[in-house]
Order: sequence, then structure tokens, then C-alpha cells
Amino acid sequence: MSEGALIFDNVGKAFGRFEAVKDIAFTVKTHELVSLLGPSGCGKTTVLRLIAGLEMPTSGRILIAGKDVSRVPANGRNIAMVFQSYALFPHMNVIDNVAYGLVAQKVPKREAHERAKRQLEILGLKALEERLPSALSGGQQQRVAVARALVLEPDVLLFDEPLSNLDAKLRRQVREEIRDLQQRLGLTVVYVTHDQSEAMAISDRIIVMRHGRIAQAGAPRALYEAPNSAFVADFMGDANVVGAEVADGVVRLDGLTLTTDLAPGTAVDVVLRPEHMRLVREPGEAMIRGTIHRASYLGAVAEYRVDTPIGALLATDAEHEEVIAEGATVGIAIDPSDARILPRGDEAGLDAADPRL
Amino acid sequence: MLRPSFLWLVTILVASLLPWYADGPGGFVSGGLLGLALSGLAAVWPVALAAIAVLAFVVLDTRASALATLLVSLAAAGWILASGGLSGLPYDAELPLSLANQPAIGWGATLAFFAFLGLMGDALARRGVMDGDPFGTHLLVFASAVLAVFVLFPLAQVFQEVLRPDAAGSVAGGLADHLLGKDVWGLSCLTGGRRCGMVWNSIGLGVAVGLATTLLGLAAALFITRIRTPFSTPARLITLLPLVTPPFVVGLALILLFGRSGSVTLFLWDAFEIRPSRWIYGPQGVWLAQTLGLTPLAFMVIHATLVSVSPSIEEAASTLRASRWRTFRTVTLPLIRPGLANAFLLTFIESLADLGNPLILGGGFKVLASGIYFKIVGAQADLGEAAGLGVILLVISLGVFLLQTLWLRNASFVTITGKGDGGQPARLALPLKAAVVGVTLLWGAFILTVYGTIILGSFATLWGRDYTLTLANYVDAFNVIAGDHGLVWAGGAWNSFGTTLMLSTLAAPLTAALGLLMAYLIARRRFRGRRTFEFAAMMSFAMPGTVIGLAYVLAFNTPPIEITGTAFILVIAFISRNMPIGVRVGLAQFSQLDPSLDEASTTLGAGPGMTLRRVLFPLLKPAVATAIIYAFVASVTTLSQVIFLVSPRYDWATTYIIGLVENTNYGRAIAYSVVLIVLLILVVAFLQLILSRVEFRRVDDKTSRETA
Amino acid sequence: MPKGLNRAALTAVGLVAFAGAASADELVMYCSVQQSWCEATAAAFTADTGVDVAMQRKDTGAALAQIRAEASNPQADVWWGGSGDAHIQAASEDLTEAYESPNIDQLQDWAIEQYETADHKTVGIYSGVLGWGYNTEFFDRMGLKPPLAWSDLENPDYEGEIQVANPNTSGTAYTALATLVQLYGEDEAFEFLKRIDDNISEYTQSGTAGIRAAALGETGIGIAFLHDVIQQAAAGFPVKAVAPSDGTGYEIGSMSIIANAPDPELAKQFYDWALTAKAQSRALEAGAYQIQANKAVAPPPEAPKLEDTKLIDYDFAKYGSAETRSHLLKRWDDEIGSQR
Repeated sequence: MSEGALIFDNVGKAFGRFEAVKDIAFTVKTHELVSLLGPSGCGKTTVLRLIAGLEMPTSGRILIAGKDVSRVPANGRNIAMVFQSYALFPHMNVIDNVAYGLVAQKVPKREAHERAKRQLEILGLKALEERLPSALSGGQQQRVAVARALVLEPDVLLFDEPLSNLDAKLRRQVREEIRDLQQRLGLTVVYVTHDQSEAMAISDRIIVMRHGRIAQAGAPRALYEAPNSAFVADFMGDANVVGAEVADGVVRLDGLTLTTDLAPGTAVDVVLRPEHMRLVREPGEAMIRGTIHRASYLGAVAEYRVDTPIGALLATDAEHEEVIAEGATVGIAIDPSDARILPRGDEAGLDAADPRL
Repeated sequence: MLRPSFLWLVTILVASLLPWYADGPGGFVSGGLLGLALSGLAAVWPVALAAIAVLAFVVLDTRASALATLLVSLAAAGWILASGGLSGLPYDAELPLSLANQPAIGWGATLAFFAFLGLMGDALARRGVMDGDPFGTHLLVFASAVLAVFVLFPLAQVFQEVLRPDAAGSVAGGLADHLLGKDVWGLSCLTGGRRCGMVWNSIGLGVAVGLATTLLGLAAALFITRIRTPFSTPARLITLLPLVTPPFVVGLALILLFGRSGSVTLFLWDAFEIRPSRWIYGPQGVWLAQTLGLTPLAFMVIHATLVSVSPSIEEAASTLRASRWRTFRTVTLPLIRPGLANAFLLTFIESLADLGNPLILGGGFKVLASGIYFKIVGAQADLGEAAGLGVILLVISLGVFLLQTLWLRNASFVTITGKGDGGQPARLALPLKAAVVGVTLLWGAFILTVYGTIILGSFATLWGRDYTLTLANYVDAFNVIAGDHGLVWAGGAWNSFGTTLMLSTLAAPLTAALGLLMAYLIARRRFRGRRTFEFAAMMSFAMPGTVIGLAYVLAFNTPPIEITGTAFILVIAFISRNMPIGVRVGLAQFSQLDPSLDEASTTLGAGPGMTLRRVLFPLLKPAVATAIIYAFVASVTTLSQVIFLVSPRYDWATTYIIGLVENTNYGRAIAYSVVLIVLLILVVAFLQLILSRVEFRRVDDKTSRETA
Repeated sequence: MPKGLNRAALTAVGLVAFAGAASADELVMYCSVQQSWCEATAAAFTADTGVDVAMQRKDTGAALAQIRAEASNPQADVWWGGSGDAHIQAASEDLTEAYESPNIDQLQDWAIEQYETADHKTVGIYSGVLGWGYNTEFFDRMGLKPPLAWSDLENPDYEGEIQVANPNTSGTAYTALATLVQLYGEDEAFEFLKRIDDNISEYTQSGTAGIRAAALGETGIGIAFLHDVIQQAAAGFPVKAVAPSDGTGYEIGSMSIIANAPDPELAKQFYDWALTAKAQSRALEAGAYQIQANKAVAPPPEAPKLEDTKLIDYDFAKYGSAETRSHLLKRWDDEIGSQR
């Protein structure tokens, strides 16, 4: 356990009867950027607040830089956090905001301002020192919030959905900046988001959470290509999840036959990524037959909703020169190695209850 | 880090050397806890033992010892108060000190009491309450202690007085005597008798005042928001004037106008031979005075609701072909209904609590508030019956308050989006507009007449007989003469004026601070019993001043806490009565402050103290200013709360003025009132100025950015 | 300990210190004569001796109730003025303390008699005759006949025109009640009070309120001590004093030192001072027309001559006793006060 900058040792957190975090264990290594990903209410923000010390765990231990900080309040932990709303103090100018944490740690005011200035320079905010937060653009506010956190040289830097208040274009640019900064300065970062593309773009590792537990953790590519549940598959990008049953070592989806080692009679979810589905104008054997219900041209790709005997499926096509007309009959061909067959977990019922899925 | 517990233990050590009891009658001077304990006074042993036990627990420092600390400290704090004689028996200097015969607590016991509370706060933090933050738990313990000792304990005394058995020793008989008097519930006025009982008088008056103020408030609010006139700013100012006026001053002006020797009455007599009558003395007069005095309150509530109705909703109605009248009746009115109900209930509560107007205008018409007063001041003082009336008044008032909080909190349809909604508020239908303008202008003229009378009356030699202008009334009240031993503040008003000014200045910031800190706990901390705490904190808002005064007289005239006749009792009464407004304003403000701001401060390493000082306090400045202004104005203008608590040393402006009115010394009374009103306007303006400077600074920054 | 807590503790300690520190050298006095005389006396004492006075005017009955309520923790040193029977009751309840002033022999006999009756626990300082004043302007304009005897007050023309105080709070009103009882006998006195109840607009709290209201024209007739009527007339108000021709009572305004007073030495200093001719001669300047107890002070020329009025033989000992007082007040409350 020694090399972890942050260790969660079977941590649980309950609010009254509601268990927000159930017995979670993970480790974040030094210089690593780990994302916590999941739908709202999955407990990812609670985990972040537990790291920050804004919540105290009901069970388990939290170690930061090798020290047990489970009972240490936020102001005693060497962490820093960038809030979703940035939480810049509206009545202080930029330099006072950035120097605030240093002043709180009894750094002499002069020195605090010096260090704050240097930090602002690194982030290219030097010209804004005297401004009030209300006089800054969203992107500038975000960078000031980062500067305010970085100046403390924390053991772990925390981000709580830092991009959600930015417009789409800026979001991409800022997330690259964050990743760049993290790698340049060798920061240890825990990053909360509900946006899988953001998580994939930025992270060394992703922890997908659900109902207060870790659903799956791993490198972005591993999660995308080898999800261990329909939930992870669905959350990591678009996926068609089709329910089926194993019969004689195979799973049949209309014309498509997939082989499997699973015992006959096992209920399974078959995950089909839209980009793996090839639409053929003349349906053949070993294909799923269907009609185009809706066709949308999105520029880079064309997106189709296809009505099939096994339900409506989403397919994307980046190759066809022209868009297939709505109402046309098509066949869907899939390379069996691209389909993932997952035994259906116990949480199938819960999935149905969650309106987001 | 050194735990606060050690500092509290040192505090107990210091406290044990200070005089444990207050100086008692017969030249009694107390020794310290240590001396008393060693001299064999068993009554103080438990305290000393508790301190030693807690020391052991704190050194052990386990979770279980924290629980033990908590319980032992609670017991010790309770013992300090109980051992002083919770029975309410006075200390008898003739008898030796013993468990049952002890004087009031002194410096030592007070300090030790605080220290035990502090130990409880720290122990709670050790137990993990509020995530182990000692600042929050200390705050919780101290605030709860304030509520328990200065709100709940006095109230309990009132109930105890009501339950006191009658001469035959029967509790039921005592209850009947105290609660069921004929002058309380009588309904003889319905059957041709002279008077109904005070309960019906109070309720009837309250309903009549509530209806009238709500209608007037609605008219004024519509006038200001929906009708474009050059008068809207002056109209606003005029409606707010009564807020800085002691309520009964309006009643006094009514006497000068409509009394038997009032100017209007005499004019009517001279011009039309209308025989002067005493119609102003009775329910009508009280109703008129309260309506004039309380309409601003109704106005503010309704105005706030009205401006938050999005104009686009009314525009939507008119695009659906509704006429102006129909739009008003079917859209606007239902939307502001919660505001109207709120205004009605608030003014109802205030009318119930008002003592001054029934006192000077009531004549034989008695309401509960004045009934309590008369039961106490006379030579036949009957505390039991006074307490009975107090309980009845309290139950009505708290009932309405509960109704207001539970029912109306969820009944608001108005959503405040914070987005600038475009569009114009709907115009009013013509007949409605005419009515609104008519009523508002008439009322405004009436208010102006009343205030004109007040100002003129203060300079008139003798109202009704000799209108020669003079400064005599002011000189009379605020005279300074030279005596053999230096200046003598001979004007009768100086004592009460000085006390009022000083104690209000002292109480206002403390009230605001306590209220806002409680709001901070409620809004920002999670702990068990938070809702109960919130209710207890807000409850004293609905406690009529006379009931608080009565409760304080009953609770604090005997050991353990003996503070009648001191400045302390006045300050405490103001704090516990006015603190709910701080809580209310604070809660509103906190709900608009992003919690991430305090969390950001904490994650940046700041402790709760620095967070409060550097982040929350500056952002709460408007709430702070509002709470301070309210607390100051409320304590200067209150009569009902102080009337039983004043003493020769600490007289209050309002009680002094009411004494003058009672002696028909109208000139001086009104001159003094004018001084008070002017003073209040200046103070409010000054505080507003400090507040608005913050606003200006922000605007300046914006403009400088735009020009740059 | 966190900084914020330190500050809170400091504030609390400061507040307590403030509350405690305010008990400087100061005479605390309840005063039961008219406001102007109270203030003039307090100011004169300060001017003569340099001792500050905290004075609160309280109607006689209210002052008695207050002193009784505070008995376990007395707040005031001295009770100055107010009709004697309340002072005698206070003495009989041991609420006040005996004191033998060196200045006692300067007083009139009736003042010393009061002093003896109460075992030296109170002393007479002024006296005054009970009666009423009526507003002459109002009577002229309405063509009413002024009431000259108690029985005249039953005249239905006076409906709603009489003001008298509540005997529970006012010494004046209690004197009137006791006078009527001594004049008519108890039952007949209460019958009389019930008969004139319709004529009475209001039972005020203060004994002087009625006559002030009559002076202003707020009411036609105010029952009061004649010195209060004369004071109003001298101030230029159209009121005329009437001493009832069928006999009337009088009061001996008194002064007492409160038992277990916070500062008994100051109380005695004031007591001695208040009996001097120098102090008592100031009454007239303050517009008080009472007959002063000090023999060296001449009665004011406007004051009613005791020998010209038909005075009853007022039994101060009986009507000042707690038993009689409580009985009469209870009966008044039951039959008159609570019927309102």
C-alpha cells in the first residue's frame, strides 16, 4: 500500500439510513489522474468529498500520502479542490482568492502574494490579478480556481465536474489544459465527471461507480472494450444492450449466431457497439434483419435507428457515401468478435428502476 | 493540538476561586467554590467532583470517556442552576447555607456553568457530532443553552404559575381560577352586556386589524408596483415611517386629533355643534391606531410577493384574451394569495402582542395583553391570573405562528428564478385602479396628518388650547441644570433615554450575531434535532412581549438567576425575543450562498473562524445589516416587553412616555417620541449607508472594467 | 480553542461585567406624586448633595405591588410620596424599615401621628384633601350644574363625564373608596359606586390622570386631591376645585425606607434631607400645592384650608391595614372593576 498517494480502505458513508458509499476500496498512485465516473447519485461526489474531508467516513480508513486522515477535517488535510461552481470568493479579487489558502496556513501575507502571483503567471492569468471574479469569463474563473488549488502544492488535487459550467468548445480546450498541467507538474488528481468522453480523454484510469459501489475500474480502453457489465458498457459510450438466453453454447440474435462457453439457459446481455454494426442493403444469412426507422446525417457519420425482431438498435455508419432512406429494409452484419456476451448480473432489476438507463 | 477541553478545565479552576454566589441580602459575600466545598457545604460538592471526574475523562480521551464527559458536564451544569434553588425560593440570610437555601449564582458559578457547557461542546465533537468540528458543537451547545435558559425556562415558569394550586390546594381549582375568569371568556356583549371577555376582544381586534392592514397593504403595494405615478417613492417612504415609530405614538396622535379636546373634535364642535364624544377610547380607537401602525408590515410582505410575480405570466393571461380585471382576479390574485395570508397572520400576531394602544386608547376595552398588565401592576397583583392570560395569549399566538410556518411555507406559488424576466406588469382595470389610488392617497394623507400632528404637537404649548410654538416640551424632557456638585441632568427623560440608547446599541449586534450564528448552524450543519432546534429558535418570534416580560419576572426574580432590576435582564430579553429575525434573514441569505464557498475555504485550509470572518461574514453583510437594524429598532420601540422589566435605574423610553401619556402630559410625551423617531431614522440611515457602500464598490468595479 | 470561541467568550464576559458594574453610588427611588414634583425633588437632592438619583414614578398601588414583588431582592432604597394607607400597609407587611430621623420634631402633628401609627416605618410628608375638579368651559357650554356633594355625582347628566382612578393602582382612588365606606358604610358605599358607574368613563391607572383629563377637556369631572386640581387651575386650565359638602377624606402623603435596601445609608441621607424645610419649600416651585409636613413651611395660599372643609375622621390605621385594604380592593374588583 506504500506507493499510493491516496488509499481508500473499505470506506463506507451513510447519511442516516441512506448508504451513499458502500465499502469502497481503491488506490490512486502518485502522478496519476483517476476519474470517478457515473450517473448522478452514484456516490462519486461523496467519494470526492470524503477525500477532501468535507464528509467523514462511517466506516473504513482513508490514507493520504501514507497517513490515516479518516478523522482529520478538511482544513487539516493536504488536499485542494476545484469546485463545480469554482466557488471563487466574490468579494475578493483574483490575487486574494489565490493567496487565501496560503494566508490560512499562516504564510506571511507578502510571501503569500508572491507565490500566488507566480502561480497566476504559470496559468497565464497575470493580467487579471486585481479583478473581481464577477469580471472574469467562465474559462478565466475556472483557471483561477485551479490556480487557487495548485498554489497549495497539495498531495492530491480534486476536481468536481470542473467543466460543466463551460460551453462545449471551451470544454475540450480546458480539459486538455488540465491534462497537460497534470502531466507537466506530475500532479496526483482525482477527477469527478459524469461525461464518459471527458473521462476517457483525460484519465490514466477510470473508476465507474454505481449505487455507491465501484462497478468497474481500469484504463479507459479496457473499460470500453471489455466492460464487465451492461451498465458499464452502456455508460462508456453508446451501446445496444440486447437481452438473450444461452442455448447449446450459442446465443442467437435473429440471424446472428454467437458462440459462448456459458452454460445453456444462462440469461445474458449482448453488447453491440453501434460503430461495429455494418448495414447491408440486401439482408443475407447470419445477419439481423430490420427496417430503417429514422436516419440522421451527423456529418462525420450517419446514425440509424433500426427496427429489428430483437428490438430497436442504434447503428452508425462512417463509410456509406449516401444516407439510406427511412423505411428501407436492411441487414445488420456484425463480426462475432466485436459482440460482448455478459451474464446478466443480479442488478438487472435495479437497472430497470433507474430512469437514466 | 490542545483540545478546548483543557482550556475549559482551567476556566473551571479559575471559576472555583471567584465568589461562587452573588452578593446576597444582609451583606452576604460568598467565597469561592473551593472554600465553600472545604468548609463543608455539601451543595457544591457535586460540582467539584464533576470537575475532577471530567479531568480524568479528558485525559483518558476515548470515545466512551467523551460520552461520560458529556453526561457529567450536563449534570454539573444542571446542578449549578438547580442547586441555586430551582424551587424559586428566595435566599433567607437568617438560615445557614444549605442545599435548599442558596443565593443566586455569582461570577464563579456563572463562569463554571459556561465552562461545563464548553466541555459538553468538545465532548460532542469527540463523539463525532458534526463530523467532529468543535466550533460547530460549541456553537450548538451554547445556542441551545441560551434557548433553554432564556426562552424555555421562563416559559415553564409561566406554566408552573398557572398550575399553582388554589387556596384549597386543588390544582384543578387553581387552573379554573387562572384560565376561566369571566372577564376572559365572557360572551355577554352578544346578549346585550357591556363587555365580552378578553380572549374574544383580542381575537376580534386581531382579525379586524389583520383584514384592514392586508387590504391597505395590498392597495399600497399595487399602487407602487402597478401604477406609474411620480408619488411612488414618497409613497414608499411614507408607508415605512410607522416602522420606526413606537406603536402607541400613533395612538397618541389619534388622541390629539380625535380625543375630546382633539383638534378635529373641537373643530367639529365649533363648526357643526357636534358634541364631543369619547369614541376614540375603545375598540374603534385601538383598531384605528393598530391599523395605521401595522399596515407597513402588511405592505412589505405583499409588496415582496407582488414583485416576484413574473410579468410574463400576466402577459400570458392577456394574450389568452383575458381582460385586465379577469387577469387580476384569476391570475395575479391567486398568485399572491400566500403573501396576503402571510400579511394577515403577521399583523394578527402583532395586534395580539400590542400593549401600548390598548393601554392608552382602550378605555374599558381590555385585551389579553393589557389584561396581563393590569393583573400585575395593581395592589391586588395576581400572578396566577396574569400567567393564565399569558398562557392563553401564547397559545393563540403560537398556534397562528405554527399555521403560518407549516401551511404557508409550502404554499408559495411564486418562483424566483433570478433571471431578468422581460415584460411589463399588467395594467389594472380602471375601477380597481381608481379604488387603489383612492384608498392609497386617502391613507397616505391620513398618515401625513398623523405625523404632522406629532411634529406640531411637540412644539405646541398646549394642544387643543394654546398652539403657540415653543421648545418647552423638549426643554422639559431634556433639561440640564447646574447644581452645587456639577451638572445635573434634570430633564426627566435623560435616564430612560440613556438606558434605551445604550442597551439597544449593546443588544442589537449581539442579537444579530446570535441569530445569524444559529442560522449558520441550521443552514450549514447536519446534526440530529436540527428541525427542533430551528423551531425553538424561531418560536420566541411568536411570543408576545407581555408574556416574555411576565415570564422573565417570574423566572429571574429569585435564585438561581437573579437579574431583575439589572440592565442584563433587558439585554437578554431583547436578544431572545429579536434573535428569530436574525435567524430568518440569515437562513434566507444562506440559501442564496453557494455552500461550495465555505467548503472551498475549508479545503484551502481555513478553520471555521476564518471562514466565518473572511468569507461568510462579508457575503452576509446585507443580512447582518438587516438584522442589526431590526433588532435596534425593535428594542427601542418595544413597550410590552420592557414594561415589567424596567427599574428606576434602567428605565426605558417607551415606558417613560407611556407614563407621561397616562398622566396626560401629552406635550412632553410627544416631544420625546419625536426625538426617538428622529434618532431611529438617523440610525437606520447610517446603517443603510454602511451597507450600501458595499454595493457601490461592486458597481464601481464593473464600470471600471467596462471603461478599461 | 478556536479564535471565534475566544471572542464569543470575551463578549459574554464583557456583557456580564457591564451588567454588574452599573451599581455605582446612586439612590434608587420610587416616587408616587406627580411626575414634575418627582423630577424636581430628585434633581434638587442631586444638586444639594451630589448624589445621583435613579427615580421611577409609580402610582401608589403599583409601587406597593412592585416593592412587594421585589421583597426578596429589593431594587429601590426609598419610596417617596403616595397616600399614607399604602405606606402603612407596606409597614405592616414589613416591606419597609423603621428609621428615627433627627428631623422628626420639625414636623406637624399629623405627620408624626402617621409615623407613630406605623411604628416609625413611615412618616407623613404632606397632606391633601380629597375632592374633584370640573371643567368650567365644558360645563358652561353644555349648561350643566356643577356637582357639589358626593350624591350629586349620581346625576344622569354626567353620563360618561367622570374619571376616577382604579383603587388597585392609585392611592387617590383608594382614599376615595375608603372615604365613601367611612361616610356611608361599606354596603351602601358599594351601592353608590355601582350607581355612578354609568357616569364614569374610565377607571384610570394613575390618580392624577382624571383631573388632568378634566383640565384638558377630555372629561368633564375628575375625582382627585384638591392640590392636584389647584395645580391645574394655577397652570391656566379652566378647572374648578370642589370639596364635597357632605364630607370628605384626606391623605397623608408619606415616605418610607425599603427593607433590605441596596444602599440604606443613602436612603437615610435622603430621608433626613426630605424632611428639611429647605427641601419641602421647593414643592411650590415645582407646582405642588400639597400642605407640607415641615412646620417651618407655610401652606401655599391657594391650598384649601383644612379648617374650611368638612373632613371625616379618617381612620388611617384601619384603612391602611392589609386586611381592610385587601378586602375592599377585592370587593371593588369583583363588583366594579371586573364588570367592565
